[in-house]
Amino acid sequence: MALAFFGVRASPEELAQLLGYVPRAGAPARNVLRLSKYGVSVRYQQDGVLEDLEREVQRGSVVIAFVRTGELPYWEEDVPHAVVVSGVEAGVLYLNDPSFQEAPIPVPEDDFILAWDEFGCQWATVARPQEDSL
Amino acid sequence: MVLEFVESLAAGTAIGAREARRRVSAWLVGHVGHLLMGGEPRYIAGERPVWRVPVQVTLGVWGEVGFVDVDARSGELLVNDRTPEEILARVKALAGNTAPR
Repeated sequence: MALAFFGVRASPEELAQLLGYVPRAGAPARNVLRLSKYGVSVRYQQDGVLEDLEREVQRGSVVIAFVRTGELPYWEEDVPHAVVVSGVEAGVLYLNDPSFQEAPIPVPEDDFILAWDEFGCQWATVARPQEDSL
Repeated sequence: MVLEFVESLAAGTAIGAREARRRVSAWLVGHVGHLLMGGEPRYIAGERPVWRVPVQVTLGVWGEVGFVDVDARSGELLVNDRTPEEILARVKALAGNTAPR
C-alpha cells in the first residue's frame, strides 16, 4: 500500500524476502527501514506521540502505525496489525486499513491511542526523499 | 490474576502485569514479527521475581510459542540475541514452514 503510493512496483514475494517475513509471525517492524532500497525515505520509531503522526501526515508522508485491533471499534478480532494513518483531526484519526475496503475509517483518538500504546507506539513513515528532508 | 496481582504488590514489584505485557508485545512487534503479541502474564515469585508473558501467534492459527520473562522489579526484558530465532523456530514448527503468500 505504502510503496504503491509512490509508484514503486514490487511483488509480494520480493517484499516478503526483503522484510524477513516469516509466515504466521510477520516481519520485525524495524525491518521497514529496508524499503529504502526502492529509493524512498523511510523512518521507524518507537514511543511516538500523536503530534508525530499528525505532522507526518501533513507533510504528505505515508504513516504506518502498529496497533492491537482489539482496541479499535471496527474490529471484532484481537490481533496485532499495521494500519496507515491518513488523517488526524481533533479527537479523531482516519485510518486506511488493508483488511477493510472502506477507507478512510474514522477512529476516536482515545481508542487509537489504546491500540497503539499496546505495541509501544511504534510508527514508520515512507516518503519521497525530498519530502523527508524538509 | 487477582492473586498474582496481590502477590506482586506484596513483593514490591515496579511494574504490573499490563505493563509487562505491553513491553513484551512492543519488543515482539519491533524485533521478531509484527503478527506476534504478548498474552496474559503470570507472576513468578522467587529471588528474581518475573512476569512470564506468553508469546502468542494470532494469524491463521492461535497458539503459544514460548514466553518472555520481564523482571518484575526493573522492568527489564530477559531476552538475548538468540531469543528471536528461538521464537521464530517455534512459530514455524507450530504453523508449518509454508511459503509466504
